[in-house]
Amino acid sequence: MTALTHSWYMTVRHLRALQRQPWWIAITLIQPIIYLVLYGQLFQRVVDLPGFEAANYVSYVTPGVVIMMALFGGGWNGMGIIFEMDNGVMDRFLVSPVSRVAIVAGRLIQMSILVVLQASLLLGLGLLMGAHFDGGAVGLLVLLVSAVLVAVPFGALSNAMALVIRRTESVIGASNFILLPMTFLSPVFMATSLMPPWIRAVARYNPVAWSVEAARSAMSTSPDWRAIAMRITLLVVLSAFSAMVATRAFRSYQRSA
Amino acid sequence: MIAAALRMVSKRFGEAVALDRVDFAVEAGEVVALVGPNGAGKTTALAILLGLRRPDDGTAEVFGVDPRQVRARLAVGVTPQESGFPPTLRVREIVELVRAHFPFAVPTDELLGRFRLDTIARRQAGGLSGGERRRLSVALAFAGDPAAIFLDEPTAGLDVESRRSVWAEIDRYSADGGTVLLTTHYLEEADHLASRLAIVDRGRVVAEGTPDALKGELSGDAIHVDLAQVVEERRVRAALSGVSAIRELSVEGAGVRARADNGATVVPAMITALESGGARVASVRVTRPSLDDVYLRHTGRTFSEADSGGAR
Repeated sequence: MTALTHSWYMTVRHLRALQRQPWWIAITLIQPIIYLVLYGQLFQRVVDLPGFEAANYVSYVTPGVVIMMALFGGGWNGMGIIFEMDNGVMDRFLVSPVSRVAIVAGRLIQMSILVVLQASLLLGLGLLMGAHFDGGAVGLLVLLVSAVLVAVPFGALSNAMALVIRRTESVIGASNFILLPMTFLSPVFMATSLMPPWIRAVARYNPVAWSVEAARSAMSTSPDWRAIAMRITLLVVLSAFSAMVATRAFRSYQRSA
Repeated sequence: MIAAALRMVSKRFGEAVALDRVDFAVEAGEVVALVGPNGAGKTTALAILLGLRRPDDGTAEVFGVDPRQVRARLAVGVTPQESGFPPTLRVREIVELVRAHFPFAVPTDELLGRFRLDTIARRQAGGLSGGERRRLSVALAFAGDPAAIFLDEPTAGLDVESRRSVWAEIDRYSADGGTVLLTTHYLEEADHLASRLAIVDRGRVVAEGTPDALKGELSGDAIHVDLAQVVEERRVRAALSGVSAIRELSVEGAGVRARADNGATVVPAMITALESGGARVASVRVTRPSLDDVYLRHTGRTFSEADSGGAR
């Protein structure tokens, strides 16, 4: 109960901090729009490839960009922890009775709220650009859940990495090294059936691919609910595992002091 | 009841020894000051008592439990050395955030008023001056109405008025039975606030006691002589060797410090001896023993000399 209450206090403080940075909000919301417009235009002829599974590329890529933004939002989340370690804010909380779980959970909940806002904006823009989402409200809900379930584990791992490495440059390097390949080794932009065999093989084990596939299936005319449930379950397990890693990283951070 | 204790605690940072078998305790209701120059090890000692650092050897406890346990953190309000705040939160929001984690917190408006933060309650922390940040940081130590407060250099960077008002709050808290452990490198602050002092030098507690008891160890007056120019120490000592009333003597640059009973009567003989030895005297002061003298006696250095040479 305490951890939940404290997580809420921490979430509110992060949301307040976000609300006071209008330029950051603007960039956070405009960036995915630019991605959707750019990728939607750049790859619009991809649908002409034999075997491509969609007739409209904007319909196809919108869930992909939502998941990609969730992945990047999570992947960079640890930078905030480094800022707080460097500026004494972390110590301020560590000497108070704040639950340790809440220090990371507050960041992840705020990030998840942002992911949902970004996703809603992207879906609206996708519709304006001519996309069709056949899965209805349930399909959209699965997309939002899938996006959050990508953001949370990568956010938790990013926080864990920040707590262990504690250097801005190293965390930037490691995030770049991980996030872009994770995106391109998944069907964010390209149908799985058209991927080179080795990428298709790797994508089977890529959580970004699980998320995109679950969302696309739920947003299609004939969702494969068994496959969707399987992928969502895998993402939930990954989230729980990542949260455990982040908690251990926190202990390691305190042990090493 | 022991409120906080370090038991034979040692801590190193690489080759540097921050604490060397430090052993001291704070009884509930006491006001204890860890006094020492920058780099003496005070902040490390406090950081271990706050659970921010782990000792290499020895143990730390707060109200009988490990400092990292929630019970310890609920019992202690803290002003860390670094006043780190989320920069976009307003002063009132920060106070409310900290209060929210304690069961019997002081009302927000009361706390803001007591620390003269009411006029800046709507300002974001990122825009506060150094003194305002410090006042906020000290106020937060009191926010949860804890059984003890640990203050790391609580008045560093504060103007005289703010310093006095922080002292008044500490006095009031202590009069109500609260336990205070503070670090300071202002000897005047330690003298004013503390019921007991622990003088820390190079990672060790070199003296401990009430300010009066420590000063009482030094009988006689301190005679401070400023020479017009720096004179070799051996020449000064040779010149003063004939003044038998001098019991202790130290020379630093152009400053000569001596201790003697009835100091005023010794001054003429000292001036004559120094001038005869070729050292021109610029000024002379006679004072009662101070904490600076206590520090000099236990460390062999004046406090200001040690403070300017501090490493951490």
